[in-house]
Amino acid sequence: MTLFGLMLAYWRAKPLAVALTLASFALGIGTIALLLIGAASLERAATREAKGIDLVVGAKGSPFQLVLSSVFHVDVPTGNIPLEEAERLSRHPMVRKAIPLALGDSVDGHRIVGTTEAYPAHYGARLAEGRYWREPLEAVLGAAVARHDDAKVGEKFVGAHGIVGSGPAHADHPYSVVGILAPTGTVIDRLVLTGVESVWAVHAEHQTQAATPGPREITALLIAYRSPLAAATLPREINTRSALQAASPAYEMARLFAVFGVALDVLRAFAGALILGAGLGVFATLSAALEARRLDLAVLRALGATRGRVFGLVALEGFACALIGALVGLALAHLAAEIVGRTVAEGLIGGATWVEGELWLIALALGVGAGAALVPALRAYRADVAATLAQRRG
Amino acid sequence: MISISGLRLRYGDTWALDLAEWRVGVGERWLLTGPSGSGKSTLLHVVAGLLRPTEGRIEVDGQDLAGLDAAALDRFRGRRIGLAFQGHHLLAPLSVLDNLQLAPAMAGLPADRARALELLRVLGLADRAGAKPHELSQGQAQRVALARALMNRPALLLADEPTANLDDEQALAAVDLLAKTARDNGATLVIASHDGRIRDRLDRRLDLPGRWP
Repeated sequence: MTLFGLMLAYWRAKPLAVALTLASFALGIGTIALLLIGAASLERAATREAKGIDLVVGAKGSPFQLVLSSVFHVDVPTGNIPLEEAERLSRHPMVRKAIPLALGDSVDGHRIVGTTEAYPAHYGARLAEGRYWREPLEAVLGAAVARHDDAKVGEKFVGAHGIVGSGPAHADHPYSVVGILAPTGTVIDRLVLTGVESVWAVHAEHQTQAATPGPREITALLIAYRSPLAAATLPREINTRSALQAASPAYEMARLFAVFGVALDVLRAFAGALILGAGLGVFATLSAALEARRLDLAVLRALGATRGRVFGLVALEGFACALIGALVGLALAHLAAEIVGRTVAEGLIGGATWVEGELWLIALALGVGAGAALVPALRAYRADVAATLAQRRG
Repeated sequence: MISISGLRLRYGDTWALDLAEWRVGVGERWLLTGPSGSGKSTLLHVVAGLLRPTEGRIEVDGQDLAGLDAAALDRFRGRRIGLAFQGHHLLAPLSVLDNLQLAPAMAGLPADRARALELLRVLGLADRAGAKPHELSQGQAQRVALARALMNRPALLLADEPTANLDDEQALAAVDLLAKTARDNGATLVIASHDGRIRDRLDRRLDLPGRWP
């Protein structure tokens, strides 16, 4: 009969009180852990998607919106830019790589992106089957798109106008699936890729209906600098001397996380209050248990248990409550992250994401648990055994 | 086994115990008598090392209790002294067997399941090993408490009011069981009781006065 075995016996005798204490710890720790996992996942995803992209060039408007729409594909574009200007910029001596993007349509909520093979190559994508597009209206599906729609090479689909797929369908311009990409864990997985010419072909009708067909356009250009020095001059040059807008993904993400960080701090404070509440719960539970077990503890002392051993028994309960509650909380947080990742934020968040802060959370929980157990444990340590045994006679 | 000289214990302004001399030999069976408040339980607690005397010297099993620090005194009590309480004081969440196994665990001794089962067999409780205390009759609970007190093969067995709430037949049987079990286990026995029914049941008797000077 170890102290741990004795503790478990007491827990089995009061399962509801113990379950509530564990649940309150799990709730507090789980909430903070989910916030940490979510923030870390978003930051990692942002870093991963924007890796190697120094600058996004598009139509004037919100630079943040331009980055969101062209790098992360989660917002509407700011507009289109003339192809001619984009090509001129691509030949700029400070530009090492320029990838064109033409947006506007989608299928089943997945964006159709007109681009070149340089785009999937930038993310290290390789074909799982089939080939890349050679003709207009040939498309390659990202891995998540193919899985979601259970699509096969050779099948046809019709794009809809608008990036959420709510616009009218381009029924007279069906796409043919010619290839499917292997999973990359990047935004590419969630896109349908095709040549820029395909987007022009689908929208040619709008062009011909116009009184004076305008020049060809694309939506944005993803740029990699030839030298880091370009960061100092190229964005300013584009923003001041052309009709285009240049936005730095790194800068825009830093701005986002600065704002996001404030919200996270508020939520962390709230979750911290939950943990503190859990600590008070442990304190109340242990204090009540101590009162109910005063005689038991005196008997243990009479049987030869030292003061330290009795202190240890009470402290162990606080410690164990905190540890088990924290581990359950972390497990629930990862489960929740996995569910969110699978249902609404595929590729952005997942249960397998581990954050260094989680170890600190366990330490925090143990600290709160130990702190909450300290006073009851000290009372058990100082208890007058003879007086307790004498009071309870008869 | 017990050697006391000049023992005095004070609670605040009141003397709770004043015993000039008391010697208990190995294997003897003593009855501590006296009215309520005479200090019978207090003397047992002092002998068990649960209370430190204000003055005087006390040796148990050749050990001067004043020479032991708190932790050593706890260990000494757990290993050399068995305590059986009036209210039996079994731990409610534990089975009978676990209550017995608590004794070596708390005294820092190795687990001895065979000893626990043997004691339960001898005391007629072999079929109650898995029962919880609330499932026992009062007589059974008292025997379990006695078995627990004997688990660590104590040299000294102390029993506080073991016949309270028992009818005549049960009271005499309880004392006879204590005496026999102590003898069979080679333990010296001291029973504190104000129960007149068992006054002549043991070899020796110490009468404590009702009020200390």
